[in-house]
Amino acid sequence: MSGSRRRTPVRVAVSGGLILSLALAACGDDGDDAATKTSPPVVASSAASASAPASGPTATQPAVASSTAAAQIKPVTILAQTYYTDEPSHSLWSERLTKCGAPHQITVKHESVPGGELIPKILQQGQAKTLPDLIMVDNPEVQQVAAAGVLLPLEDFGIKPEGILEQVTKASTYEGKLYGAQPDTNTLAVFYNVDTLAKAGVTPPKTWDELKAASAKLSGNGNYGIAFSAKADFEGTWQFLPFFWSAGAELDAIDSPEAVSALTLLKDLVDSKSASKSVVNWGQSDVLDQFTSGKAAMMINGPWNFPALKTASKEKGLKWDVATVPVAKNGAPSGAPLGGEAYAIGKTGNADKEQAAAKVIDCLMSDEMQLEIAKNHGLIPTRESVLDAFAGSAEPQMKGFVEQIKTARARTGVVGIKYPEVGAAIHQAMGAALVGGKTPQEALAAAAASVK
Amino acid sequence: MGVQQIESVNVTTAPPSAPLRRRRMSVDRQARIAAWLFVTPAAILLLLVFAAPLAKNVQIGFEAVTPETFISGEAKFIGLDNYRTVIDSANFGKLMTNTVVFTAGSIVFQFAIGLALALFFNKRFPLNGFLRSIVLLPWLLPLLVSTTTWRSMMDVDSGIINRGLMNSHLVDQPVPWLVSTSHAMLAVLIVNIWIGIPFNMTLLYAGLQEIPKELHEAASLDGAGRVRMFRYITWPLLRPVVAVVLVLGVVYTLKVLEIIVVLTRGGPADTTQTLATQSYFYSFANLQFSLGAATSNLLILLSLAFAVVYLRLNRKAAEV
Repeated sequence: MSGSRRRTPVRVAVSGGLILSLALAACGDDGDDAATKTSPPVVASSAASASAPASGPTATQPAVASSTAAAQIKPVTILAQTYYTDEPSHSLWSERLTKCGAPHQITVKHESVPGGELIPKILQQGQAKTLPDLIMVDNPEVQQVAAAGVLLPLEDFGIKPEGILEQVTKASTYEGKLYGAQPDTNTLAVFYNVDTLAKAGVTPPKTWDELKAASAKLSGNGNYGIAFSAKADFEGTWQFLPFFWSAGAELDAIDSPEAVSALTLLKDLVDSKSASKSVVNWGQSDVLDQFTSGKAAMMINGPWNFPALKTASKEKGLKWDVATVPVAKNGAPSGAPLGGEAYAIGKTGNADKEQAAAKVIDCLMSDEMQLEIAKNHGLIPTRESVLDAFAGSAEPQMKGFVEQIKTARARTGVVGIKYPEVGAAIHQAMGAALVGGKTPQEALAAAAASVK
Repeated sequence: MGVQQIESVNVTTAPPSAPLRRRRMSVDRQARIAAWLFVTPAAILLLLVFAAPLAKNVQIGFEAVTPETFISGEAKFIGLDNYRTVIDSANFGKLMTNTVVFTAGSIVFQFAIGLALALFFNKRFPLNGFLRSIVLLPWLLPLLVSTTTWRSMMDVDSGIINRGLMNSHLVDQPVPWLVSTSHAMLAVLIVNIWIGIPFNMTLLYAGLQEIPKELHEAASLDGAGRVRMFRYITWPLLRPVVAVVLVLGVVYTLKVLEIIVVLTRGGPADTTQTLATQSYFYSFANLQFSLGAATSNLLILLSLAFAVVYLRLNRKAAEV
């Protein structure tokens, strides 16, 4: 009896102690983490006075320059985070990052998270102070992430956007500072089936009127003239922008008459059965399927589809080429949205690692890397001086894209960090107008009202 | 166990002397402390894993959380502004209607078909086990896989469903399952009902198996027909299981997300947008965390209300 009475408290003490020690262990981990993260800068600053004379190319920033010297001496391991979860993209990027780090004794660990989770993940990491050192961000989201305060300005590390397409730089600039470096980009253009167009006696349309006429002529028997994505998603908004901008509309006035005319064009195409109603449910990969299966004679899509299209050429004898997106009327501006990913430095507080990340980014921005990335991932270099060499060496179809990229625009150029809100309002309006029984005017007016 | 033993010992002891009483007090206290300490690990886990996220969600619903304040943790308290924005938004009425139609439609058909199948399989016949396991299939497939398959089957131009309907001349025009405002809700309902049938069938079947066979035998000897046997024996004895199936069904259906996101992304033109999908899009597509939290808090309230109402009704029924 007395035995059982005594045992109970002992057991409790043991189990209680276990919990306590677990809790302590957890706290201890945190403490250690914080220590490793905050101590290096102290070391670096003490080394600063010693190695100050050996100033590198970033001499304007003494504290930073000192850790440059430190990084050259001792090897550093940094963590890079991308959304390339699929193969071969993931391996290609791992290889590339390793190659960029090697000359500076930087080991780059590469991790990928699915695209849809990337921004919430970065915000979480920022909150928990576990940011990666090198962070990939889709270009329309750079400003948003920079505004959250988890990135460092690249100029502080001597990275300048020299010779980079102006609109590309604009996408990665927040409050006058550059936060992302984008080695390569992409955009949208019209892919067309060469044989189908020739058979129907149609040339690639240059204006909206020609687009409507050509699509009508190419439709029938369950086939459609043109396929595009008007999904209730940012993919839908992205595909609408070439028409939106060519009409002369701007993202800060999405119910303007110009915007209405662009949405009217898409509605006309769907209503006249020149495009399938399914456009409201198609993503860009569905659009590609429609094109490669011969169900759509033309499609709006991007250069990342080149590998799939080459396979289709080989297997099914599909002949395809690329033209720029038709403009509102002769002489109207051409303007497709800029795509692609930017690379940024995470604000980790570890000067050595921040410096190392900067070196890797610098390497990614070199001419050779821009060309190599472009070639392996179906992208287009962002340095203007590289563009012509690229157009010469790439597939002949890439010429359409190189031409389109020169007038392409950043989605965040006018509305900045409000783009997610505006973009969501636009795809909402597209659905409402295309199949929801609203007129383009009503749909866009409602969309504009929803954006505060 | 230990506590009971100690108490029984105390009862049998003769009138305690002063020192003994003091000892009993301390024993009682020890037992009480021990009880608390045993509860503590579970309580901590529950608080940490369930209560804390919920409390955080409620808190975010009252604050202006943006990507910036997410990091800095300095979100401003704005009272009911988020709720006002959500409720005043043009599509809120649609959201509520859709949520109710989707939930009610799913539950009614899942339950009816599930019950019919459960009654069917409750009989003995060859291949019973094999057929029953086939009905379970929708439950075994990953949601993403089955829903993506449905999406391609329901394609307006090349989907197998429309081709079948056209070839058998049941329709003249392809049915715009996922791309028209008049059909999209029906389409997501069909898929959700298909996915929900195995859950309903399995639980109801287990409930039926629990009903003693003698009752039905006795009833049939007394001359009761099938309908009367179901009405007076099967249904009353199945009630507790029915309550569980319906409450869980409502709660599961209210929060359905993947099916709608994959099939239509809430479109076209918000036709299939529910509180659950809208809350997801606010938070994870538009990065409007506060609006997302407010919407999901409304969703939680709604599902809580459903659960309470149903449990009350059921308790009343049980008392009668």
